[in-house]
Amino acid sequence: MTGVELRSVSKRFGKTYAVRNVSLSVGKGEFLSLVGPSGCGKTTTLRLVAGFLAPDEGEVLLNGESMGGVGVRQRQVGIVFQNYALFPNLTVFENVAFGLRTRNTPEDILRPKVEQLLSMVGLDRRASAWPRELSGGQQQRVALARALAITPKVLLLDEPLSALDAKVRNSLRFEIKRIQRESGITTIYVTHDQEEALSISDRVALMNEGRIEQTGSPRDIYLRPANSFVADFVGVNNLLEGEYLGDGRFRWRERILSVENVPLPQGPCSLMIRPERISIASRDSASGDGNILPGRVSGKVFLGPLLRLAVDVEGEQILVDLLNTEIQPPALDEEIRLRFSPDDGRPVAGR
Amino acid sequence: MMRRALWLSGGICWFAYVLAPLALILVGSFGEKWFGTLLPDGFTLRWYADLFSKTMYVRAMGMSLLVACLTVFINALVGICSVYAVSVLGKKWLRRAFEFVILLPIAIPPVVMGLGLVQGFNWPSFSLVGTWQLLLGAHLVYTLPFMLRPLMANMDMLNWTVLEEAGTSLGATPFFLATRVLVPNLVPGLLSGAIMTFAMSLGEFQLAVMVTGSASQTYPVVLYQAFYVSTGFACAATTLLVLFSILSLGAVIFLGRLFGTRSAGMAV
Ligand SMILES: Nc1ncnc2c1ncn2[C@@H]1O[C@H](COP(=O)(O)OP(=O)(O)O)[C@@H](O)[C@H]1O
Ligand SMILES: [Mg+2]
Repeated sequence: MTGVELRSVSKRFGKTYAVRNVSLSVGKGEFLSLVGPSGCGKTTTLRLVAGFLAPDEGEVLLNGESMGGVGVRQRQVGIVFQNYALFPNLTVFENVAFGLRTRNTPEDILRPKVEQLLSMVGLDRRASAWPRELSGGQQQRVALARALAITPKVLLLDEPLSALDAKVRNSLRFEIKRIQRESGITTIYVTHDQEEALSISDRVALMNEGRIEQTGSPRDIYLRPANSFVADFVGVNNLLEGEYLGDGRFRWRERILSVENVPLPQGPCSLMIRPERISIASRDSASGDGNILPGRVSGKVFLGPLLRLAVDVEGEQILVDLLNTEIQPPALDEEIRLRFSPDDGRPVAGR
Repeated sequence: MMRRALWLSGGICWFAYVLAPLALILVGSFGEKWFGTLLPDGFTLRWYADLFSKTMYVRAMGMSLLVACLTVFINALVGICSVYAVSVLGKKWLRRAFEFVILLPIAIPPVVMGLGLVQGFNWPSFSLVGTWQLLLGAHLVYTLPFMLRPLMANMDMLNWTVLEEAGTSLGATPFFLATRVLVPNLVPGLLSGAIMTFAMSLGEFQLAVMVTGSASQTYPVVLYQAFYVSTGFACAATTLLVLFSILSLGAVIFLGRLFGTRSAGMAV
């Protein structure tokens, strides 16, 4: 049985679609990230699941039950907001207890439950503190515990880490993942940060302009993007616009490159080459089965373990990542020859 | 240097125009007679005894307290509801209307308002003029802006839409949310609004003198008449009003502390 299911859901504001014909299913206990650029409809999708919005078309199901006409209060969803949204007049303990109090839970059940949640998020010692006395990261942990207190059918998080600084963001990211795994709660996690999404999700759904472009495991999305938008969004820096000729052949400018043989129709598309899969061919080596692109080094950036080169190939800038253990990195303005093997050039739809 | 001079002159003005007259009135209320000298002669509690023996003054004080308390209470309810509506509905025109409502009674002098009320509610078959209910209505309108302003500022700081969504998703009914979250978080605004409106209603003279009748006179109206009795008596009557104001404000602040100003994180 699925935890959350969206069946051809659309939502319009005025004439424009914020969410367009989205179908998505999240398994019970699964951690799914909804990722995409700002304004692509992630929050709207989340609000449709929560019940703050009703779909214009389509249907939302929680644990297999249709949510048509079911209000937010009855849906039993836990929500974590970007700006924490803790009740400022209640202590940490009472914030976490809030959902149980609305259900008139007796004190002898409520107290141990809240204490257990607080120790799960590592704040058992701050139970009597006021929200404003806590750091942003701590407040968000309280918000997480508060959302989990009602044993929600699904946990919805809308950019929960965006307001925090980088260091806290990283540690809290893995804590959210740990807590989700321990509690086994179906989770939809919204973020615009592809790295965040890829690092904690079981599955990622990538949205663009109200539509889902691709759904898959982080590995799938990263290695086999369905189109150039996905490839670009998950951080492939090299996308060459050209034409797929079928049979593992790709025309870029005057060249015919041998690339991965993918089931794509012949015609205009993009060739994706990851910077770390490109190497520098020695001057005299034969090309073998690889592709050779001659170019000139136009920039160098030191990135710790990596050295990133910008190479000008016929006016197109191609990025190349070299491990910094390379003995002799090329100098600026040096003429070099780039090499990539056919398996590392992947044609993707769209340009 | 400049700042010190400003502070100093401000302090002198405050002393000369606020504290000194109050102190003189306090002293005068215990004096036997006070004529042509800086300070009165003799010590007596006679004026206070007089004051409490005259039912007119005692009843007027009761009337003033009644009207002031009702004004605060009703304005608080109206204030919470309107501030909630303006903030949650988020309509631009509603906020404009709100600003207008806040400004209008301040722009209209109480005398004008009093005249209007006397004209408007005085019909041969049906007259509200002379009743305390009419005065209550007048005070409500007159003081409402001073309740709305701090409440709205408080509400704007709350980020209420998100709090409401969070609470609703946790299963709270609108009533539960209003009593457990909204009102407690509005306590600071309510408190300053209550202090303002209470003080304004308690000491309000112009509307009261025009609208009330002999049975519904409030304290400031009878106090004005006290100056025709004797200086000492008038001083005692004034002291009583100041005492009541200060005590009531103290009570309001105490109640506010009790109901979670601490938690709302704002001192009053
Ligand atoms: N309440 C609303 N009224 C009108 N337009 C809205 C509303 N909420 C969202 N939109 C529009 O819908 C689109 C998707 O918004 P949103 O779901 O918030 O995107 P995201 O969360 O991915 O940044 C945006 O173009 C936004 O302007
Ligand atoms: Mg959003």
